[in-house]
Amino acid sequence: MPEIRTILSAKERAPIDRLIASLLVREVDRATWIRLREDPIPGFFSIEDPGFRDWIEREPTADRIEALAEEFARLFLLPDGVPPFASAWIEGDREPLAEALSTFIGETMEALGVEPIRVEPWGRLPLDHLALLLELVARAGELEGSEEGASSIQAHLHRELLGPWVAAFGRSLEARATSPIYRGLGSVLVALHGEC
Amino acid sequence: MYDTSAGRPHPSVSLDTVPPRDVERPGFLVDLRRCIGCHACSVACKTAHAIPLGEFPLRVRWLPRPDEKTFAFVPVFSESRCTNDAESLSAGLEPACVRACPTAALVFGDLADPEDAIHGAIAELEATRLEAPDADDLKRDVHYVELEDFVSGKIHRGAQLDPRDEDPIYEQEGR
Amino acid sequence: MSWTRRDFLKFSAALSTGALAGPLLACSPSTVSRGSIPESLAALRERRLDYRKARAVPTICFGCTTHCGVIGWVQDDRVRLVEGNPLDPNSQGTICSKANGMISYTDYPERILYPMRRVGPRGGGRWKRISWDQALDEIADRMRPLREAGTPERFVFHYGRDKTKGFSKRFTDAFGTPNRLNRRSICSSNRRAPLMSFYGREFEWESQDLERTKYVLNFGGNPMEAYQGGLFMRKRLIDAKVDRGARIVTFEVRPSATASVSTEYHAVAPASDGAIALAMARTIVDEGLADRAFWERWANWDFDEMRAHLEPFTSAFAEAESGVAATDIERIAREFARSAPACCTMSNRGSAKHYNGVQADRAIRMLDVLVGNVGRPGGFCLSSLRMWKNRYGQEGLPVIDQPAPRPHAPKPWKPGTREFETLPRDVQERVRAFPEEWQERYFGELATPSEYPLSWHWYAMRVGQLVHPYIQQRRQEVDVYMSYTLGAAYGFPEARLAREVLTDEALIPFHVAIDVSYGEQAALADIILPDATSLERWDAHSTNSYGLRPYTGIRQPLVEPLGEARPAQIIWRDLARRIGGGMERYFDFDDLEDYYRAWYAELPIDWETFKARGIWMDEDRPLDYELHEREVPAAEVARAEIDPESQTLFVQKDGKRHTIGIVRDGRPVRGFPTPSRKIEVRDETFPLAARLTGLPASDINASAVPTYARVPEHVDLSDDEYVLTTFKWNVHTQGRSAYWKHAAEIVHTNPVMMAPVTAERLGVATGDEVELTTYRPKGASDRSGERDPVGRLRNRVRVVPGMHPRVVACAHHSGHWEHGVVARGGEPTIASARVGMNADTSELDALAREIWWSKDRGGVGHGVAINDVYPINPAPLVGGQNWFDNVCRIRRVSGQKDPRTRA
Repeated sequence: MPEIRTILSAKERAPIDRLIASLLVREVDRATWIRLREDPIPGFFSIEDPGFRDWIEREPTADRIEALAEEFARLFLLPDGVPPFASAWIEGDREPLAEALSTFIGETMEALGVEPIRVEPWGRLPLDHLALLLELVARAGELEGSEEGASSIQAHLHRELLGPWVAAFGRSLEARATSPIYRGLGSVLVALHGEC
Repeated sequence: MYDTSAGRPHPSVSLDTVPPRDVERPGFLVDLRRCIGCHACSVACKTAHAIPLGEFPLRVRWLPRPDEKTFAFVPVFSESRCTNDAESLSAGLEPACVRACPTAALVFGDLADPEDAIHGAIAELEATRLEAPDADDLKRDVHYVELEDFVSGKIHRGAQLDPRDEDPIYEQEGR
Repeated sequence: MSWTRRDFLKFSAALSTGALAGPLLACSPSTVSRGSIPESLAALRERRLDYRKARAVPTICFGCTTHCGVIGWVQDDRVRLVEGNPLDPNSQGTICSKANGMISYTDYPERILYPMRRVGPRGGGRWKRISWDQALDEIADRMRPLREAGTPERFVFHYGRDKTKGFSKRFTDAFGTPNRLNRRSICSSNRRAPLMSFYGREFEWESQDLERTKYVLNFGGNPMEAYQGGLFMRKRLIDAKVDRGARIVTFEVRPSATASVSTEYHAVAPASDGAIALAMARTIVDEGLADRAFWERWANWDFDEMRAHLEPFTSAFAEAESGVAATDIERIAREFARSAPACCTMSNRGSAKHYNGVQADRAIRMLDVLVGNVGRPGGFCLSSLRMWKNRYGQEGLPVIDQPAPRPHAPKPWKPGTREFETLPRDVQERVRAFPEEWQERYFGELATPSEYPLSWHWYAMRVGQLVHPYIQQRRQEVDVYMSYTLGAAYGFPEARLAREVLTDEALIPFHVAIDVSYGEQAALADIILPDATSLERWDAHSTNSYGLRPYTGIRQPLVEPLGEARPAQIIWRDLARRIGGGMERYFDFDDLEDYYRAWYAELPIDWETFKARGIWMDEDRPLDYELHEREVPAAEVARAEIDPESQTLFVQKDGKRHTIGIVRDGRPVRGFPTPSRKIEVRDETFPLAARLTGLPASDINASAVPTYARVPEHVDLSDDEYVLTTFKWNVHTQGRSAYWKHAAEIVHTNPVMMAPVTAERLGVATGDEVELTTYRPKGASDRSGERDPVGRLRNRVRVVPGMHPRVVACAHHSGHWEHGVVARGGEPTIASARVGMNADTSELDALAREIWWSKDRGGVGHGVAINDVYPINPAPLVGGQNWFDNVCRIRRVSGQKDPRTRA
C-alpha cells in the first residue's frame, strides 16, 4: 500500500477528515443522505466500492433512514460495536488513561482556543471522540503561521491522540459496518491514518 | 479505642495546613476482634490506586473456622503491591484502607518511631505476625490481634488469588 | 486498495467548498502556544490521586438504602475516591465497600448516556438514539390525554429506589395519579407493620441505643452486611462488644457476618423466632424479671391476660420448634432481662419475611416492652426518621419542606366516585364494608390492594409483587407505565411474570424507564431516559440516627452528568411543563440548586455552609431518650380535652379527634403517637382486617396479640423437603450492584449453600450441580396449595458449616443477563444486544479483559438468576413477601457419586 499519509499533507487531509467527523457525530438523516449524493462523494467512494453510487441514489425512505440510525447506534453507541473513542482503543490502565486524555485534550483545546463540541440535538460530545480529535488536528494545522510550525504541532497531536489507534478503528469499522457509507469511512481512515 | 479523628479529611479543614507524614518503617495492626469482613478497606485501596481487577494489594479473607459454625475475617496484605498509600501519607492522611474501615480494625504507624502509638497497641493487645510458610508475598510488618492458629494454614499465595482458597467469596474454579 | 493519492487530492479539493466538510467546532482566533499543549499522554498517565489538589466535596452515598454522609475526592472532573464524612453523626466518618461502587456506576462504559427509543418489538434489544426533545414530547403526548380525560390513574409510576424525599411524589400528585408503586413489600413490610402497630406510623423503624447497650438479642438481623441503617450500627456494635463486653446473641439460619462476630450464634429452624421470643417472654414473666411498672404504665394489654396468653409458649415448645436448647432460651432471656434497661432486641428480614413473620416481630418487640428498655439509654429507642415537618419528636427542628405551591394528593376512591365504579364487583363489596377511616385511604387495587389492608393501613407500603399479576388480571387498566430505578424484571419473586406483563403491549401500551444502567427492566422499555447518578445530582436527606439526635444532609453534584444524562428531577419538571394543564406551576424553577436552597430555607445555617459541611444537626438538642415521657406544654394542655376512659389528651380538627398526649399519674405527657397514646401490644386492627378480608380468625395473622404458629407449608415437612432462603452480601445491594466492578470481583456467584450433613444426605459435595424445584406456599397465600412446581433452577453446591441442616441458601445479586459485561461475567449477549454509550473516558474492552471470573477464561462465571423460582408469596393482610419460607426439593444432577472418595 502506498504511504498515503506521509504524502498527503495535513492541509490536504483536513477536508476529508472533517467529512468523516461529521458522519461520526450524528446519524444520517434525510438531508444528509441527499447531500451525500452530490459530487464529489459518490464518485470518490465508488472507486473503492462500485456499489456505492447505486446505494446512495436510492430513495431515502423512512425505513432506510431508521435502518441507518440503528446501524449508527450499533456501531458507535453500542459497546459491542466500534466505539469512536481514543480511550476504548489505547492500551493500559483505564483510570489513569481517562484522566490523562481529559487533561491532554482539555489543555490542547484551551491552547487552540476551541470550545467543546455540541452536536444538536444530541448534546455534548465526549472529549476523546474521534471527531473532536480529527478536528483538533485539522485546526492546529490551520491556525499556525508557517507550514513547518503547523505540521510539527499537528504531527505531535496526531502522534499522541490518533496514531496509536485510528487505523485499528478503521479496520474494525470496515469489517463491522453493513452500509457502504460506514464501510467507506473505515477504508478512508485506514488509508489516511494508517501506520507508517 | 483508637483516635480515628486525626489523619482523616474533614469538610472544613484544608489539607494545606497538614504536613506530610514521614514514615520510616510502615506497619499495620489488624484487630481481628473488630474486623467484620466488609471489604471497605480493599475496595477503597483499589479505587484510590486504580488497581486492575485480579490484582490485590490487600484482600479480605473469609475463613470457615474448623470445628465451629462461623467465619473468621482476616485481611491479608501483599508485600509487593501494597505501597503503604504514599499519596495519602504525603497529604498527611492515614492510608485509604485505614480511613475506610467502619470498625477501626486497621491501625497504621511507624514501627521505627518509638513514640508512635502502634507500638503500644501491638504490645498491649499482644498482636502477632501471620506466619504462612507457603505465602511468599505476605507483607511482613502486619501485626494481628487475636489471630487464630488455623489461619496460617489457609493462606496460600498471600493476598493474590489462589484456587486452593476456601472462602465462599472471590470464588474461583478448582480446589 | 483502489484509491490512489491523486483520488484523495482530487476529493479533498472538491470537498473544500461543500457544506459537509466544514469545521465542527467553534474556534476563537489564537496563535498556538507550543508550551501549553501537553508534551505527552504517557507522562500524564503517571498522575495519581493528589489529595492536595483534588477537591473534597461532601455528599450522601447511594450505594444502598442506608445513605451515609460521605466525601468525594474530585480531581480533573472525575470522582477518584469516596470516603466517610466525619460530620455525619450516624456513620461517623465510616463507609462500607459499596460507597466506591458509586464511582463504578458513574464511569461505567456501558452506562446509558442518551435517550434511546426501541426499534422493532419490545424486548428485542434494538435501539436508536433520540434527542431529549423527541423523548419528552413523545412521553408527554402519551400522558397528557390521560389527565385531560380525567383518568390520570392510568399512569403508573413504579419505583425501586426513590430517595427524592418527595420530589417524585410532587410529579405524581401534580399529575393526579395515586398509582405510585414501589417495592417496600419485597423488602420490609412485615417488620415495619409490627413497629407501626406498637408505636405509630412515625416509627416504622427503631434506633437501638447501641452506644450504651450491654445486651443485644438479634433474631435474624444482619447489620454487619445488609440491613437498612446497617453501617450506623456496625461500629457501635463492635465497640460495645470489644470495648465494653456487651453480649450479642444471634439466632440465624446461616453463618452470616453478624452471626460470625456475635458472642453467641444459634442456628435456628427458619420462622421459629416467634416461638423463641414468646418463650423468652414467658421466662421473663415467670421469674419476675419483667418491669411490671413500665408495662402497666405504657402497654395497652392487661399484664395478667398477657401472662395467661404466654402459657403454652414454654421453652420446651420453643426448643421443639427452633432446635435451640430450652436451657439456653431461658438463660438468654434472664441475661437479657437482667441487663435492662441497657438491652435491646434486633430483628429484620430473618424473623419477619415469613407467613408468621409479622407476629414473630410483634413477639420480639414485646420483649423490649416487658423489660422496660423502651427509650432508655442502651435500650430500644425511637428517634425521628421522616423529613422534618413538626411531627412527633421533631418539635423545635426547622421545617424542611419543598417550596410552595404544593400539589394536592389525589382523592380517595370512595363509594360513589367514578374510580370506584371501575372496580370489580367483589372489590367494591369489600371496600364498602371498610370503616370510613379506611375508605379515606383507598386508591384502587394497585396502590391499596383491598385484600391486604394492612399494607396501607399506617401508610401505603403497597404489595409490589402483586402489581404485575393485578395488571395481568386487569384490576387496573394501564396506559403509561414509568419505571424508576426499578429491577422488577430481574428481582421480583416470579420475575418472569413481571417480564411477561412488561412485554405485553396490550397490558402496558407504553413503558418508559428512567435509570442509569441498561438493566433487565430498561431492556423492556419503549423509551429509556438516562438518569444522572448520585454523584451528579441533588437530593434532600434525612433518616433516623443511631446517635439519637436528628440530623439532615444534602446530596449535591460532584461532577457534571456524563453525556446527556439528566437528573430525574429535571426530567419530571420538563415533562410537567410539556404536559401542561396546570402541572407546570409546581415545577417553577430553572436551576435545580435553587429548588433545594428553597427546600432548606428554614435551616439555621446558610446554604453555602450547609453545602460545605454536607450535614446539619443541632448539637445542643437533647438525645431522644423517652420521648414518651416529655411533658405536654401547658399551652397545649389548655387547648385540649381529656378522654376520661383512655386518659388521652386530644384536640378536635375537621370534626376528628387528634390525640396529642396522655395523662399518666396526673401528668400530661406525650406518650406514643398511637390512637391510645400507649404501646399497642394488643392491636384489634389485625382481627378487624381479617374479618373484612375473609381471613379466618384462626389464622395466625388475624391475632390481636403477638403469637406463634408454624408456617403452614413447614408443618409436616417431608424428609426430602428443604427450606430455600436467600440473602444479601455485604459488597452488594439488591439487583443493581452486580456491575460495580469491585463488588463483582469479590462476589460474582451464588452457589446453593448447605450444611455438611445436608450435602451428605443428598450425596453431593462442593462443586456438584443440583436442581432445586420450588413449590407454592400453603395457608392463606396467593395461589396457595397449587400443586405444580413454581420453578426449577440448577446451580452448584457449596458446603458451609454452620448452615441449619434444613435450610439451603442462594444469594441474590447474581445471574444477570443485562447490566453489561461485568454483571454478565464477561459473557457475550444472552438475551438482547447491549445498549449504552461509552462514557467520556473508559475502555470497555480492557474492562472485559479484566473479568477474571469469566467462564471463557476458565472462571466460575457469574452465578444463576434465582428469582423466577421464588413464588409470589405476600403475607396475609400486611403483604410483605415471605422470601424465606420456600419449600423445595433437591436432586443431584452431576458430580462424583461418593463424596468421600474426593481428594
